[in-house]
Amino acid sequence: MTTNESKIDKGNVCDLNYLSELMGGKKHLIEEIMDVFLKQVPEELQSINDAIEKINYAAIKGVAHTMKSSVSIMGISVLTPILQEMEDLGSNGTSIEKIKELNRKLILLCNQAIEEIKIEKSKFI
Amino acid sequence: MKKTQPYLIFLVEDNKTYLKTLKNYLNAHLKFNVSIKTFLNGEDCIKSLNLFPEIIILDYFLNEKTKDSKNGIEILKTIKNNNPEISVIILSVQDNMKVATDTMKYGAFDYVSKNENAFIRIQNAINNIYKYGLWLH
Repeated sequence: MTTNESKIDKGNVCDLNYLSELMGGKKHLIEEIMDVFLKQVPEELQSINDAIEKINYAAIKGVAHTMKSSVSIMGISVLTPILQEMEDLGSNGTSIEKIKELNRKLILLCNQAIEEIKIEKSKFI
Repeated sequence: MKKTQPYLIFLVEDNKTYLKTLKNYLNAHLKFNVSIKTFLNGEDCIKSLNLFPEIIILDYFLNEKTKDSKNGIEILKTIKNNNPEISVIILSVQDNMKVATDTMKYGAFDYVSKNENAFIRIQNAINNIYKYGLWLH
């Protein structure tokens, strides 16, 4: 184990340093935001899945656009280009197969992020 | 003379994580007595204008998920028609000159791009409004 157990390990998708800086390191404030994020992401993944099933490009664009703000707060920079591409394809109304491929990556990375955040949150107790 | 009751700030943003982060950030960093009320859409914000907020932080893209919702510009116009003295700060994901120009044209106090400096810029804008007494009606 490293000298600082609360630090995000190399290779993780989340970097919570930005959030921690914003909140001045106040754990209760960070925890409140984590709780909102942990609830919001599964809902948004469901919305994108539904939109893909219905081939609703406008909805795909909308949810991808909204997700960019929250993933940036959680320092999940690997998701930004994926969401941007989904938003662009949704805006163009094309390439549902490419969107499905991006969505598979999105789901995997979001699930990893959720697990990482749950672990970080458990250290606050 | 500064007013004694809390300075009322509305935050209007459809991303719950961003909304909570902004609320917590402002509560932690603003050095004067504030009361912050949050809304997930512009329509609910409009319904609460009778509370006389001094400042409204308003997301530009409020209708990305719910197409029936009005976007930030439409909400800005309604706010300004209702009470032109409310200071409105517009937030947007993109640094878009056209959006920035439009928001200023319709009376926004400032336009802030949602980048890594967004929170400090919002804080500074609120401090300027407070410092120069622009909240006085």
